[in-house]
Formats: sequence, structure tokens, C-alpha cells
Amino acid sequence: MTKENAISVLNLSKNYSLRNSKIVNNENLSSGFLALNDVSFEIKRGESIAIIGPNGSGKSTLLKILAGVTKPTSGIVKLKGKVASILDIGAGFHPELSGKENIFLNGQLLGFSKKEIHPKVQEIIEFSGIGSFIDEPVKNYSKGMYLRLAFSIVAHLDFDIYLFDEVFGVGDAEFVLKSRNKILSIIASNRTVVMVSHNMYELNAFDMFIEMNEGKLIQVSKEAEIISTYLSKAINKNNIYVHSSNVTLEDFPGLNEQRGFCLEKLKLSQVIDHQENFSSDKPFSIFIYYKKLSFEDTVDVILTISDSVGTVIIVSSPIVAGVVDETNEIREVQLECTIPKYFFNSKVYSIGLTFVANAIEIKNKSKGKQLENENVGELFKNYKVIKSMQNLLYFKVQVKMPGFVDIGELDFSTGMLLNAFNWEIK
Amino acid sequence: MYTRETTTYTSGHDSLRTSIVKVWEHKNLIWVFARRDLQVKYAQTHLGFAWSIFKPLLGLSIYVFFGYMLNWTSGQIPYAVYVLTGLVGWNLFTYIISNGVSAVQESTDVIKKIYFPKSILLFSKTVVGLFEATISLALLIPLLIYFEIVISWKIIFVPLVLIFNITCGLATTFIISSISIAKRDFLQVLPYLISVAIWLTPVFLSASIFPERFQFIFDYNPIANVIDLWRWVIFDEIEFKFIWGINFLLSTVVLFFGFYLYSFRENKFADSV
Repeated sequence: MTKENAISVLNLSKNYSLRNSKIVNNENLSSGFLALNDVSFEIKRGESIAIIGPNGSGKSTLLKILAGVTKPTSGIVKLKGKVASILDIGAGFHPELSGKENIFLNGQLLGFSKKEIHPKVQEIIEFSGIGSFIDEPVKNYSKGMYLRLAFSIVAHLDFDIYLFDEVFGVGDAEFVLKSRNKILSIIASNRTVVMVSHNMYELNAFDMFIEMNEGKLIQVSKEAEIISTYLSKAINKNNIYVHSSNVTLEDFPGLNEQRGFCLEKLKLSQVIDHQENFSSDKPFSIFIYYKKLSFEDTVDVILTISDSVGTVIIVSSPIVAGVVDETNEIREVQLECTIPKYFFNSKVYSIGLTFVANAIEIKNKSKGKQLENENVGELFKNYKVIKSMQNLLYFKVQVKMPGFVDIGELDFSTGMLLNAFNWEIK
Repeated sequence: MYTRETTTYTSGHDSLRTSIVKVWEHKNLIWVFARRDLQVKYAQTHLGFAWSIFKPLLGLSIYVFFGYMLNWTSGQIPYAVYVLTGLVGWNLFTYIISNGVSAVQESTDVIKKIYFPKSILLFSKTVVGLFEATISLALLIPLLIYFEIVISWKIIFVPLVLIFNITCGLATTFIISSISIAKRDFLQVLPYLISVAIWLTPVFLSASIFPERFQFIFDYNPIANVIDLWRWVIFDEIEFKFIWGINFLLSTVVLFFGFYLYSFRENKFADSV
């Protein structure tokens, strides 16, 4: 049996009339701004799609029309089932009512009865993490609390179709992660999800990708490749190259040798036969070659991997993994960090290195064993940063996913993810 | 089994029939919004709900005080009763208008989140207005007992009078809102128009104090009819005027026209608020 359409969009256009008619950029129309131009696509029930594209490409307008908040200028939209939306603005709360009262108000506005909302209230409050503030009027809430509550309500009620505009920039790291996981579980539970995203994450979970630009559909694809291609295009505009196969960097401008170390080589590689693209189903090796130039200080390296917008995704260091360089002499050090397979998504990543000095005490303590979190905190306190170099190398990965992969337990207590990858020292 | 309803959005405009069907489909929101309004109404006051009783009392005593001072007459009906019956109708009428025209602005947040016919907001304001009218009517009971007035059998027509009252309020609100969606100039003069209109309506003045040749105004003014009707249902002495019935029918026609106009124009809201 073929699945029925959850959403079908046919020849959709939206023209906004402008107050200032000088800003006319479309000649076909006497006045106005064409935010959407003849967009058509279909989404089957249970499918999830991500819409990507630069600002002003019509993503949010499309979502607003799907939510019924604004009318199309021409074309037809059909949705089957209950629709929930978290758009850029407007949680639909009443400022004078308490958080709890707003849960009921919001739920009822979204088409649920008090009876249906009641058993979910506790869950919603807990997920939002608002705690005792739940009985305060929401006008006293911070922007983050407001959003957390709005998201929790939508995420805990049963809808057929979810529309998310990416708003999760608000809220602390913990909630951002929690809400991402929640969305993933919604996707996994076979509901229809449409997500507009600037800050692309976990997009491998989606079934389909739509790239938009200037109100038009550029491409519809089932391959997550579309995202890294799109991101590389955006980054390449700034004259930065995004590597997609084995690469070695040897030239590091702005580094002098007076700092006790000298970075010589940074290599990112995979065991691949030909000039193949990076692929997520093989482990990565990052080689860091540097020269130690002084006797007094020990030099350590902290590796950071960030996404294209600069959010640090993972931090690792040989010392975290219990690999300690004992020798305090002038010598060349070769570090090899192995990142397990299935670690990277279809995104653009960048590698950053921070060289630090002086942590001998803890270093000796931690020799041969993986550091506990408290010890890492103490370790970082004793560090003196010699040189921090971010975005040394951009790369993207072709995702080959066998389904769900457990990449081990991640630790978020330091605000970023700390991971003891496999490190080797020579 | 749970069936998924299909929602369709197109560029076209709805017919009157479709507009009514859409309101019917979303009717539960009328209560949701009304309950919300009642919940927040006196949120930041000490007396809270008690204000719903004090406010009409306060209004009543001001008019009664000046009425007795200036020796305004009200025929055989005690002046306090005359004013209160007038205020019930007038307050319901003006409540619908003044809250109705700002209802969309007030709920911008919700309008940008979910779809529903915007007229729902006006209907929910009407429900809140009805709630207040009921309290005012309850205040009438002790007055009637005090003045030893026996209520007429015509009291059974109260529902019809209420419908006429609401029809006047909603028809006015729909038309004012429709012309104020794009440009809000008209809303600036609205409060003044309302304060002028009270002088053309026998709320606290009796029609009899006007010169004979101007009295026809009260016959052609539907809201004046409504207020006369409020007195008519209570007192045996007042005679029914045929023109009231005609005005009722005309107001109903205007109401449907206003509703259609509003439904036609409401799509501009999300883009302009």
C-alpha cells in the first residue's frame, strides 16, 4: 500500500505588497515582493523533510503558509491531520496567565481538550525545566523559558504534522540538545516533520531535503549530500576551501618559533583506495606534527571540531585519553587521533588546535588512564594557552549510515562535548 | 478510528456559507478565548472578580446622582431602574465594539501561530460582554424588589432582545474592523463617536425631553430600539413599536453583510499586524 500524502503543495506563490513601492525587485508584478515563486512538492505521511537555504529564500514564508497563518497569493496547499507549528515568532501565550494556565490555553488553541492535556501537563513542565516558575505569569519569563515552554507543549501533544522553524538558538546548551533529541524521536515515531534549518544538525535523520533560493525550489533530494554541498557553497564564497578528501597542511602563517613549539603539519586522512571522498563509514585519522623547543614546559594539544557556524562540537586531547608525553626535551612529536566511524554528519566541519603548557602534576596523575570529568576541569585550570588556532581546515563528509549507531556516552557537563578519542603519541 | 481531516489553503475567497462553516468548525475556540479573557481581566487587581459587580454599580450611581440632581424624568419608571436597564443594553453594545475592534491586535501572538477565522475573536468578546450583562441584570433584581415593581410577562422575550442587542454590536464591529484593517485612522475617532452616540440613545435621558420633531431619531436608531426593548420586556406600560421589528430584520441583514466583508478581508491580518 502506498502511503497517503501528508502535505501536498502545488504551484504555490506568495507576493507581499510593500509599503515602500521602490523596493520592487520583480518585474512581472506591478508591485510587491515575490517571497515564493511557483513551489510544488509532496510529502508522504511519516516522512520528514528539512528545508535549507539562505535568509530570505522563502523558507519561513512557506512554513507560515503551511501553518495557515498567511494565505498564498496563488496555488494550493493540502494538509492531512493535526498540525503543530513552532514558527519564528509567537508562542501564543497570554502574558498575564501562569505557565501552567498557558499550557492549557495553548493546548486548547492547538485543538486538544482539557481532558487530553491534563495527563501530559507534568511531563511538559518537567521537560521545559521551568520548575517552580510554572505558576508565575509568563510575562516574567525570560525569552529562553518562554521558548522552552512553547516547545515542550508542542512536543508532548500528539500531532500528525509538525512544522519547526529553527528557533532552537535560544535556550541553554542542555535544552538545545534535549529539544533536538525530542525532534529526532518525533521523526522516529513516524510523524511528518517539516523543519526549516539554518544551523544544520542531525539532518541525516530526515528523509528528504529541499533547497530553496529566492523563493524558488532549487532542488529536492533524498540525499543528505545536498546539505554539505550547500554549506560548502556558502563557505567557499569567503574564499575558504572545504576539503572532501585526504589533505595535508604544512603552511601555518603567523606562527613563530619563540613560543616553545612549532606546528609543522596537520593531516586529515582516511584509508581510501583512490582519490575518493571522505565517507562516514570509515574511521578518520588526524595527524598533528609539532616540534617541542623548550625544556621547561611540556606542551599539550587540545583538538576542537566545530561546525560551519563555529559551534564547538567536540573537544579532545591526548591527556583526556590518558596519553601523556613524559619527555621534557626538544623533539618532534607526532600525534595521531582516531575518530571512530559514523561520527560525522552531512555537515561542514572545521578543525581547531590549541597548544597549551604546564600541567605536569595532573598529567603524571592521569598517566595511563582516562581522566574523570573533575580532573579535566582542574587540568584545564592549570593550562596556559600558548597558541589557539581555530578553523585551520574545513572538511565535509559523505554520509553512509547503516541506521542508528551508538557513538558512546557523551559528556555535556563542561558545556561542550569532551571525548576521549583514541590518541597515539610517537 | 481516528480520522485525519484534510485542511486546504488556497488563494481564493470563501463564500458566506464556507465562512460560517469555518466558524462552526472552530467554535470551541470561542470559549477558549472567552475563558482566557475572563481569567486575565482583573489579573492585576486586589478585588479581582468583584470588579465585575462594582463597575456597573459605580456607573449606575454616577448617572443616578446626576439624574436626580438635574431632575431628569423617566415617566412612571423609577430613574435608577430606568438607567440600569439602559446601561445593560448600552454596555453590552459598546463592549462588543470597543473590545472587538482591538481583538485582533490583542491576539497577534496567537494569530501568527495557528489558523482560525478571526471572527472567532469577536464572538468570544461577545461572550464576555454577555457575562457582564448578566451581572448587571442580576443587580436589577434588588432594585425591582425595592421599588416593588412586578415584572411583566414579556420577560420571556429577553433572549430575543439579547440577540437584537448583540446583532447591533457585532454588525457595527464587523464593518468598522473591515475598513480599519489596512489603515487604522477610523479607530482613532471611534471613542468619540461612541460618546456622541450615547446622546442619541435613551440610556439615561428619556426621549421625551427631546423636541418632538427630533424624536424620530430614536425610532430609526436600532440601538435605541434595543434599549427601549429592554424596558419593554420588564414594564407593562410600554407599548411595542412596529418599527423595532423592522430594524431587527435590517440589523440582521447588515450583520451577515458585515460578517462576509470581515471574512473576506481578514486574510490581510496576518500580513499586516
